[in-house]
Amino acid sequence: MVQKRQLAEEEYDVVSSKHLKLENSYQFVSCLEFPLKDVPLKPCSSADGLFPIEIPENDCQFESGKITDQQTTLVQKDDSYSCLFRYPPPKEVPVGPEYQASIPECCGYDTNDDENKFLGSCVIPMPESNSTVSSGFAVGKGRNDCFCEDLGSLRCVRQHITEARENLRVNIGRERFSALGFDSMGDFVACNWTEEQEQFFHEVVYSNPASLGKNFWEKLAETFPSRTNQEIVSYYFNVFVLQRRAEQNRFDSMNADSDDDELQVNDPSEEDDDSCVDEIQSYGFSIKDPVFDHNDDARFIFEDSRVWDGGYFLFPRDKADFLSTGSMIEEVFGVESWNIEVTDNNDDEGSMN
Amino acid sequence: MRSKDRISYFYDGDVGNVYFGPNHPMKPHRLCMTHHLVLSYDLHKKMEIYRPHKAYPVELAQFHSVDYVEFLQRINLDTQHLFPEEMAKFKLGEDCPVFDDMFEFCQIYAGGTIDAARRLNNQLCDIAINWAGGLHHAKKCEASGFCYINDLVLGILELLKYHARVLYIDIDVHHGDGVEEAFYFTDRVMTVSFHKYGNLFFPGSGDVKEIGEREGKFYAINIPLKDGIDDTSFTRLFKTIISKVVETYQPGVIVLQCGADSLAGDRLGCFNLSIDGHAECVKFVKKFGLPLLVTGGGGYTKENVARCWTVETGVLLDTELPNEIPDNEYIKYFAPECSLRIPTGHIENFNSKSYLGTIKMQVLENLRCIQHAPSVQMQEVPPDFYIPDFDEDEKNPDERIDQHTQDKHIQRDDE
Repeated sequence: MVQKRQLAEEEYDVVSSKHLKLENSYQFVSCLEFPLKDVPLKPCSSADGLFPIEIPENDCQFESGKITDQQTTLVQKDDSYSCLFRYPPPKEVPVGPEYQASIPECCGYDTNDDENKFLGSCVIPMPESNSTVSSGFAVGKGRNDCFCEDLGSLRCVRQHITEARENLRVNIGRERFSALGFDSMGDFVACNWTEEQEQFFHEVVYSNPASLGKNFWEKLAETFPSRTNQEIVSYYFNVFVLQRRAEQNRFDSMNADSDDDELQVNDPSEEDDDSCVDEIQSYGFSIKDPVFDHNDDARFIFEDSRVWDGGYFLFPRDKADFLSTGSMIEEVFGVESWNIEVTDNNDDEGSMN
Repeated sequence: MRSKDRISYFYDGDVGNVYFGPNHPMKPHRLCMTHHLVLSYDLHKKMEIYRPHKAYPVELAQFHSVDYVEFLQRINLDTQHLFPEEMAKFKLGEDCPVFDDMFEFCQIYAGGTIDAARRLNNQLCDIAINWAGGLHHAKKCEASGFCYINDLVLGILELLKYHARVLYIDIDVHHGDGVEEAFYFTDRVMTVSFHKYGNLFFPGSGDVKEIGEREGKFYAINIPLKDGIDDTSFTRLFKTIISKVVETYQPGVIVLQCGADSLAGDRLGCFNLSIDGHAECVKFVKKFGLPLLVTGGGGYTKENVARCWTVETGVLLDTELPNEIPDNEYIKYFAPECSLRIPTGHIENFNSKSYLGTIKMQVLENLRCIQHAPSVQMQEVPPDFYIPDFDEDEKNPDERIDQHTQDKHIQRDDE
């Protein structure tokens, strides 16, 4: 059996993983660009296919990459590794019984009749589409016009969301509404939580940020022992994160990022009330007014580059590299937050240490 | 083209209520948002919705090793520290963390793709959608890239019981290595992956030179791309290559992984595709009129994931959706603009015309090797299918055009 060739760790001295975005990657990718002139093709010696015969190592004439004003800075400083770095050996596909699937025969039927029973259980059957279309029912319609005097206010938004929920429930029926999980979608979920519980929830999350070696998720489970994990997850995304996003929309729409688990817009101690009912006093803007500036999108900032050390998916050494943009972490937690020490008592592998 | 496609859509409300951990980029809650948006646009009125069965361990073991499946089933947050060797062996605990309800999560998303494949096999639908699926990195004996169970491989294995040839297309920004590896030796599955390659981008495989081995030689196609590819470059390349692939390989069914991390502005991705550009690929594949299994995949800016897969559900239903997102539980995620489309970024496209031309030529030349390969079994008589006209005039006249790329609409005689 051919062994998968592992890139030796000692050949690379820095780490990257799937969740890092490379800063200025487009700059140093230019070193790997194909040259301006077309590379002639000729068959490989094995005549298995046509590939470029060679990649010039020092050709600096690039078509699209251009020599930028900034000097491209390779992360790898040691010249003895530069040839490997520029043209790292491609990962070989491992072969053998531990890697490939067993291909079934093509019979035109299933040899195991029982499996045919598992085709999924129908929640909504195929509608009589011809009749609905011909009756003029609009499928895929967008937003209804809002005629509220307090357009864009919390009350207006909440009313329309409630109306939409009711319309959907009427449309598909109460049973299907529940079967599809709509009972546990949206901030409606908060109605199953008391005000006090919601307050605790917020405190636990904000006082246990992952970037400081803590795991708010574990603490939540401890704080709410009677709640199932699914209830906690549901509240987190349907109420907590949604509320936070609403605040971001109001205060910092340019940098709104509901995927950043640590981004805080307001100091939670300054918030008057964290309950779902009084989450915000007003939207602060009209939904119909575009605020987003397409020419200045902070979301396209790339991370500091890291070089992959050959493992599949190695854990970033610096916990703060995990996911959030560097500028955002520094803004919220300070530059010092980059220097993180994992506490000894936090050895649970469930946390992102 | 088929006059009306019957669509089966798979969803389980429990799939979104799992959490990988603080700051982990994979957030299954994006599936709740997608589903909610799909129904907010009333798309359920044009398709049937199924709740998938939870895949049994024995079904998962149709591909994965038994000890791996068993470990996934019994490991949990409280006990993982007791099994460091197994955790390391199965690559769990870092990017693929153990979390509550992890195994159930796997059962749901895998069950969706398996059920989708079975419905297609039994001709109960023309197109089956499982946005929860598409976890293409998982390997036979280990987790990888946030993927634990490879639902795509399991779905394809189901399809292979009824179809001689299955075509797998992957437009996730990451190489579809798990699926390619599983079928690297066989000509019964052709895997085609468009992905970012180079600069040690995960997973590190997917070079154009990876073409398969043994009977599978030339049945793996990789289109390695650089940062910043835009709609025009991508869709042009996609259509050219996929046209030729379908024409040459003549699959009985297509599996399309629609990873949304190839969109502009994705947390982990580096392409510059708009939702319309991404959806253009889906639209193109649908036009072949072949049975089609569509899954999700990557996508780490969850609002854009929801937007993308909603638009693509509309595409599969031949329904163009208005840009203004209707009121729904998650409307705040889409504020302030509340629009279905997203802007692309002003980032440089490092895929030069010559680079793309070279890659395309290599791929098309390798495809020629299949046309003359006598070992390809042509047992299955493919239905007459429509190869959509691809406007060659769009091509850059400066590009070299191989003679064979000019060939179109070749109807092969079946052996």
